[in-house]
Amino acid sequence: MSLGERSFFVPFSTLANLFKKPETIAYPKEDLDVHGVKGPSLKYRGMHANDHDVCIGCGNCSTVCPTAAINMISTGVNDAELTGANAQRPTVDYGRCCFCAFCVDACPSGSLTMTREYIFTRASEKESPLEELIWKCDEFTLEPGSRWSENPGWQCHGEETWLDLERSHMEHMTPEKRVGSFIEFVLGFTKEEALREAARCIECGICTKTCPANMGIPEYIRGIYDNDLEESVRVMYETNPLPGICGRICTHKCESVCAISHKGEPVAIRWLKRYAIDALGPDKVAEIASSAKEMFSPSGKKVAIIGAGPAGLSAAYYLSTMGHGVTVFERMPKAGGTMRYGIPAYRLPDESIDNDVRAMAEMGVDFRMKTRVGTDVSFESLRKDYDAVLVAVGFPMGRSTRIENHDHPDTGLAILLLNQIRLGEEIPVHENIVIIGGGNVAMDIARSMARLQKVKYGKVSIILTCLEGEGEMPADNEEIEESIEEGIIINPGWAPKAIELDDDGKIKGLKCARCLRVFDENRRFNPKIDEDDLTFYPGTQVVEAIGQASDYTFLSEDDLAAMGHERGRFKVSDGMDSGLKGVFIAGDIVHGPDVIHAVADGHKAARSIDTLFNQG
Amino acid sequence: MEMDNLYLANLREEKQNMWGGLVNYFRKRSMWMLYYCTGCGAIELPPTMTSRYDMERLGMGPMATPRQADLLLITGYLSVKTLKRVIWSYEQMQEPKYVVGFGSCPINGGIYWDAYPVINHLEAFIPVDMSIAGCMPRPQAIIDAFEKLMGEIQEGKAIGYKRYEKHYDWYKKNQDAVLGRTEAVLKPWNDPFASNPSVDELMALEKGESNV
Amino acid sequence: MSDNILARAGKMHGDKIECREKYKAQLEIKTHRDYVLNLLTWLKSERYVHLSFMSCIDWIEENEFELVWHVFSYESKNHILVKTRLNREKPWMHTAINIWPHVQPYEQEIHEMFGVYFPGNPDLSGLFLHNWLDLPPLRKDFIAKDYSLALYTTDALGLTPPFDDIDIVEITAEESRDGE
Repeated sequence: MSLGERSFFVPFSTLANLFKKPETIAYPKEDLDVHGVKGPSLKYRGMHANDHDVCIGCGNCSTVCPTAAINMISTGVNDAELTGANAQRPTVDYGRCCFCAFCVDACPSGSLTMTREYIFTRASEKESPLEELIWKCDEFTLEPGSRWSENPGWQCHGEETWLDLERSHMEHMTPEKRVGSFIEFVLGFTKEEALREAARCIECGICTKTCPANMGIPEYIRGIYDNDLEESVRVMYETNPLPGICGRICTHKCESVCAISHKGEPVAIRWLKRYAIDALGPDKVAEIASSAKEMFSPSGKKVAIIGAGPAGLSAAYYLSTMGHGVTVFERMPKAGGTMRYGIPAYRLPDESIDNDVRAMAEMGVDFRMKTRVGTDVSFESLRKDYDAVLVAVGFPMGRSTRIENHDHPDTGLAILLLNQIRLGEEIPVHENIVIIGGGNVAMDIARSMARLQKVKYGKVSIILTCLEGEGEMPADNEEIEESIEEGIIINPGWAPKAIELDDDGKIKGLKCARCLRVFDENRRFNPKIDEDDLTFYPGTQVVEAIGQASDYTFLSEDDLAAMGHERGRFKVSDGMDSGLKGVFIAGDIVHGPDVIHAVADGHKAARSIDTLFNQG
Repeated sequence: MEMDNLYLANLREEKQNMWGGLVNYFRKRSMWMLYYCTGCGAIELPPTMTSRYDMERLGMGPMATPRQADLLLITGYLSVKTLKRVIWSYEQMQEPKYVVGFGSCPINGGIYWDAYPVINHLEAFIPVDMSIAGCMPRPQAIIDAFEKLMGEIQEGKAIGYKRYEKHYDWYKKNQDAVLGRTEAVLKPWNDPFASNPSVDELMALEKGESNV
Repeated sequence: MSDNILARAGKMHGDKIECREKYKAQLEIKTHRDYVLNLLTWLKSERYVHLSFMSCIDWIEENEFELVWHVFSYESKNHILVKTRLNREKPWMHTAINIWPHVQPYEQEIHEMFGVYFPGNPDLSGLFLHNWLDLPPLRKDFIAKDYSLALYTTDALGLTPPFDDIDIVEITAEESRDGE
């Protein structure tokens, strides 16, 4: 093709480009607009934002950061007063951050997010180069807060997270199988399952703060993960001498605040503890438990402990590790208190109590069984013969609703019935039973009765009713779920009015009225009942499980008054000492029925008794 | 003391010169940059320079040699070996000269904060007039930084080169601490072959050892 | 192996080598240090003419270095890894520079990064590192983080630590957009 063949006007065709929209994005006058909203991708990983109301200060972002850009700084709040959170918040150093969003993907509460804001430039400002360097490092370190949060980018909504949100599988007996016997139905972790479960822990330590005994939970889970079970058990014994028992029946307040629980299921802290104890074996555990004693020489002081429940045992263990002589007085034939004579065997088999108690007996704690203080030995003589006395008698008696016909022979108190079941005595079991109460004791008696019914009649027919509405019941969720699985019908939100009798004087059933609320605005017990909304639960036996009471007959009126007794409980100082010199109080009678509180109380009492001896 | 303040001194100088503002205006509108593509940040420069974000509309363009450039871009991490070349290049540039540090690495080490050949704070070795957060910063962030830098130049505040002049000893000390080491940092290495033995010598040595 | 190199290598070198087929077209041959050059020469004569790369691995727990030559044939399209182990205390290896001249910078680099000595290599000077006096940095007993902390931080440079008493205040939403 020669030049002459083309039109003279060909070069002018480029003028058409004058009217085309330019490809250039003239930032900052305009910006990229391909995602519906101006700016980068809708999932862009720009500067961080952190919702301080949601953030729990666990520090996982700081742990996973590959560039060590995230530091936790204190918020100035007293850490111990916060529940379910640590008093620290992350700061991000943008002189380190590589915007990988590991922190967001690993944030258990979901508070940390990234935004579509990414422009952050700083001109030099200082005159001296050193000042400039320090100022710049400071300037590029930001505490992510609500800033930029109106322009959200990358967020992690659960499924993308790095955290393992589901609990490791653990073998349970099926409801059909377990309801037929009192054999323990939670079978515990295998080694692989325990390792997988231990790997879910992010070691934030919020659980430690929440646990009444302040157990070193992240440390012992780390021990399990490292397959160093001896270290794990040693950590447990630092704060809790009954790990085998607590590994089965603890009320696990730790799990309710577990960081993982914000997005998924909490780490099974209780079952991990059980795994460590069971896998190591009772001999090894007893050896580790008694190894703490070698650090102290005998002091020659003597302590009497009334009651071999969790508080008494805990105090006995720590006092004997401190070198003091300990004598425990117990009215029942074996140690364990409510744990042995209240909690059913399907939750806590006798062997695990025996194993934990064995460690103490080996350390030289003197157990005086079948010795009732007040009848066999007087409280005054204990005060005289011993340098200190710890009252840890617990709540061995039941309380009644005192409604119409509550004293009919076919009614019963839960705690006493449980006691009889545990002692192997036969108790009356009817075909249709109504249970009043919504706590763990109610669940225990309901499930125990269900087992007895299953054996006797081949079916379960139990109605459980309580004042608290659905979701407010004080029992553990697991207990409620398992009860329903076992065939127990739960009707929450009803107040018992009367036990109705038929013409022959036999129980016909329980009349209830709708309970609108249990606590008033001041969180005081003050139920409000709708007398018009009535219902009737048929049954020929009624069991009351609304609370427990203690037995202080061994104490004189003056002693009780001096010890600060008020409405069935004691008011004590932090050191667990009562108004009487040398007399300490611990356990359920201080903090209400809870095994881990009792263990913590026992430890505290032991420390203050030790302080008393060191002063004197 | 007031005379020591570089900012005030600079502003005063510009006030005395009636043409100062005008000069600054032209300076900021014709910046030639030397992009020192040491790190990953270089990948964001092509879209910034070419037609997509078209840096030339700001009056900026690439320059071939340090002696003709006004602007030194440190695009990412700096290893010790490149740091030496950066300092040479910077010192060759004609005043006024400006340095822009791209991304996290020149600020506090970035993702290479614990790597053995990479420095942490560029500010300790040469003065940085503008820092951009990001890993790496997008072209928008880079343009934002350039526009800010232009504002600083107009106001006579971008005086990193004067700081370098005045505090040269301080910078030099840091440069020497990293570049001119005479002692090992952690543990000196005793090269067992420092004498450059031949194969025969080594074989004989090994034979002797095995005999012993 | 399309060219049946495995069988031929076994036949040729017998118990001096240890062969294993790793993948469909990848073969691993382990041998003693003093036999490597013989093997490489033989492989080159068997049309494995291309030395793609040479690398070194620090097996610190076994107190050994492992040298790997990656050899490739354009005809059979096979990839052979020739491996040998050296004592970590005094690691040295015959240079392969007479078989493939371009192995020189690979050996130079391994000498710099691991401290393996190659007698016969004409230039074992520093290639990448600037003024290096410490342990060769790719040895596993060299802790890079410690080195970085001891040299590059403000502390190490003799400057005051920057994070001493800086309180970080959150900037409110009004002041956002970085002070524009």
